[in-house]
Amino acid sequence: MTPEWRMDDERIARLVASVGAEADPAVLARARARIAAGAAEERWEFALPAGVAWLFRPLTLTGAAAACAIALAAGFWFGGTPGTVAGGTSLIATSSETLPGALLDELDAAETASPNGGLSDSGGPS
Amino acid sequence: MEDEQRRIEQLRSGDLDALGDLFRDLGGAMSAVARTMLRDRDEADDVVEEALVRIHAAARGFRGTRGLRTWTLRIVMNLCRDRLRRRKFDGGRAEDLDVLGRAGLSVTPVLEWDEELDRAKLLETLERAIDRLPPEQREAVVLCHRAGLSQAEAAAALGIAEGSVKARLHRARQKLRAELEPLMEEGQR
Repeated sequence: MTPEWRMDDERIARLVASVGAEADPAVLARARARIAAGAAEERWEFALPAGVAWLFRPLTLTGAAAACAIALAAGFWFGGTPGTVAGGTSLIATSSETLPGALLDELDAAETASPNGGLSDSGGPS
Repeated sequence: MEDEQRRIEQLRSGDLDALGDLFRDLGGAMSAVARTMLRDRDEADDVVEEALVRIHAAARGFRGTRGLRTWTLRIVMNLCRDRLRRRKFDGGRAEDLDVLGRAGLSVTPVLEWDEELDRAKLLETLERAIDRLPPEQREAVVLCHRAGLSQAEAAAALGIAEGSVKARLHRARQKLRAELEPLMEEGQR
């Protein structure tokens, strides 16, 4: 190998250095926009009272959602459907949903039990 | 040196114009490092953007002992390492046909360039040879020969001893020489 075309260290270094890159100004613009957006977010967080800001934390929101889900699941598990107590007994004695309906149902029930309203003509028990 | 100290102070105070000045001075080296390491212009530009955001965020804690250029290129190199690690996990990518073009790298003609040589072929061979180097040798070559850091600065940027950089460069150049010399030989015939 003759020295003319021998690649010495310096030549290799120059060859590597001959390749480079132009910085793209758009990169700086994007970075500055990200920094500005981050600063604006920090200012917004700073402006909120500590208690309110705490309520907006993702962990808090997730915790609240989980607590709601657990409460609902427990309600269904122990109570079946709304308006019932453990064991499935309904808290509502009548089938009607409205107050007038319930009163009419109660009246019907009383009439069924005793056509005379629970009193005999003689005034004694029927 | 005083200029650098003033710029560090400006960066510490969150001055965005100082970040712009830093990009004007080091943006080329940052881009060259990221584009050579990643061989993908878009991904490399994302890395440079992320590096600028991190420099702005971390400037307050920067003591300045290693120098701004070393610190900046260390951040870029670490981000490139993260990307390459993730890429390895993703299964890598196909070999590029246009190694310089895709990476967004440009060529400055070397003064004593031999007219007989096929420059494009030589550069393509060189870039592919750089890609084939073990990562630690590639990092040393890119930081010292492409980004222009001294061996001491490259050692600080890589977090290793200066002697290790020297050894890595020596081994890397041996490999590059082995790949380039057949082309040089051809050109001289």
